[in-house]
Amino acid sequence: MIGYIARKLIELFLTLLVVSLIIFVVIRIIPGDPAQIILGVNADPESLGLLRHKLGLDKPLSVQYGNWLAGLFRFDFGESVSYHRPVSMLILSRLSVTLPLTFFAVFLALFLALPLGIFAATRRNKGADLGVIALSQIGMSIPAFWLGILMLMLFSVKFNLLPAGGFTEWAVNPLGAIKSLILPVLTLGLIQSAALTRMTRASALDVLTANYIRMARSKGLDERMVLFKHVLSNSLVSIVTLVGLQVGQMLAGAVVIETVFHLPGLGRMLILAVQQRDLQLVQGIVLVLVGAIIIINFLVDVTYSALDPRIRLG
Amino acid sequence: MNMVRKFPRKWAIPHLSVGLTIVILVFIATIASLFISTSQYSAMDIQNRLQGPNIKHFFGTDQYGRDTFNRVLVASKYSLVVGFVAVGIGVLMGVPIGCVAASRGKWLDPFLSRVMDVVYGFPPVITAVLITAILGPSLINVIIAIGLFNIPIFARLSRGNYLAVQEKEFIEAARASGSSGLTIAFRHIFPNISSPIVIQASTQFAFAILAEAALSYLGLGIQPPNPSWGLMLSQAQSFVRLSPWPVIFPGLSIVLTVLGFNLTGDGLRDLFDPTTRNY
Repeated sequence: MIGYIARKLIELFLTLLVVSLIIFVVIRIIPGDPAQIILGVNADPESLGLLRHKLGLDKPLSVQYGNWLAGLFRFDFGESVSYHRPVSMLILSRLSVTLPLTFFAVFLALFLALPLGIFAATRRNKGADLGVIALSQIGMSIPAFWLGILMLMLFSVKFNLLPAGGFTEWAVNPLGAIKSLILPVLTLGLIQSAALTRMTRASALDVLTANYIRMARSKGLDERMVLFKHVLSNSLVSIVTLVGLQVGQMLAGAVVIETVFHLPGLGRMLILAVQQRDLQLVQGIVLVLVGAIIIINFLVDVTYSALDPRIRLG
Repeated sequence: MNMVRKFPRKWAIPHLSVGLTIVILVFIATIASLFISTSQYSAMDIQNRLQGPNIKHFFGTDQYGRDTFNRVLVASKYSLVVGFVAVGIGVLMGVPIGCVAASRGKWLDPFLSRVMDVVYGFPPVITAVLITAILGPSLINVIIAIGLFNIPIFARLSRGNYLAVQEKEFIEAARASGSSGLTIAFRHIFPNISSPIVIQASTQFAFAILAEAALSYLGLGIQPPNPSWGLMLSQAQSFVRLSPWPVIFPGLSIVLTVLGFNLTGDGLRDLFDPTTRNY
């Protein structure tokens, strides 16, 4: 097991290195001189030269990459041009929106999908099952941002129950912060629960037809006991994987949802940073988001092999 | 004769019929949209802005008084183009990569698999943001971003299936009878891995339409005045207090189209592999 994790860790490190290189190169392809963008078109050549030197743009690309990489280890992502603040600080401050949004949405999706999926599997091909299948099929076809707009129309415009967008900072009013997250979390969680319900149902069906379930039933175990102890725990292995794979989509979904609800999260900041050509910031946020996805996938792989020893032996 | 009698029963998969019907309707709508003139979908009529559905405008009008029905139809063309090209990129690049990785093994397989892991780490939204930063927003961005994301999906799928089929006895038989590696790959392995690829293509088509809508909504894709479902929704959101109708119809079009391709994918899966049927 330790050997397996060590090998996976080396793979993870190499993958992250390649990802950082790709992002660095892509950002460098972008036309335009960053110094010129910062100082404007009327800047005199002398101050342009000074700023280029300060930003390290006069050094060869390999040295620039090395410096950036070394900075990353010190949690120094450079400085944002449009906010005049360190990128690392900006990212940290925006996590207070994106992290709760993603976390509660995953939680909501699991909370809905696990019972529904298992319930549907136990009623296989009956009316309730077909209803769940149809609902999840439709849910998987709804664009998250459209559901978000519909939620806004219903809960903010028509009934005036919840804010129509924007975010009250946690420090200012925690209750307000929660209120501004309710609709985004509902939107993202509901959409993700559709696919998750389907997958839970499929893996629960696999487990339900296994011999040890017949065994558990025939030795007279209570049906609830069979469902919770045997079916749920054995379905969890594949569900963990699926949730892990979905987190990438959730983070991508958060970018869109933050725009729908005007939430000042990482995704919203990324879109604004592109529009303002704040490349240091774009580079930093993309690295954090892609890095997070890859690290989560790594954790899923390791968890998966811990839950099911056949994986690492195979 | 036997074939003829068996065929309809085999095709009697309800969700496949529903899915295919929707997909065919969408294609008919798209073809019909080619006959809509530019003035019919972009003519502004401010006095009749933000109307609800009526006889003159089936889906009502948008904030400039443009006919939503015509715009929804014209926009379907872009969704289908993105779907076709993005899935095409995924299949044409992903399948060869997966097959080469599976058949060449050794160092190439782990190498290609790692490369695919890296590509898969970039969700379309992020890729689109990066490309937009370089090239500015456009339809091409969207296609590249979704297409790139599709490559590892098809590579992994074909690699896994190739490895599984490679172990089968009939491959060993072909090898024993002296067939070359290429003959085995093209005549024996490809036909056996094609159906999962077709099924996945249908699902990825649905995903591409969703992703295109989201990217255009964010302003990274198709630019005004061209109509796109996502873009129409983004504009309609600003006027939601005045009229809900411009939000309803483009959204329903996305749901219906995506549902059609998803159902078709599921139906094809059941058709090709009856063991996964639900009933």
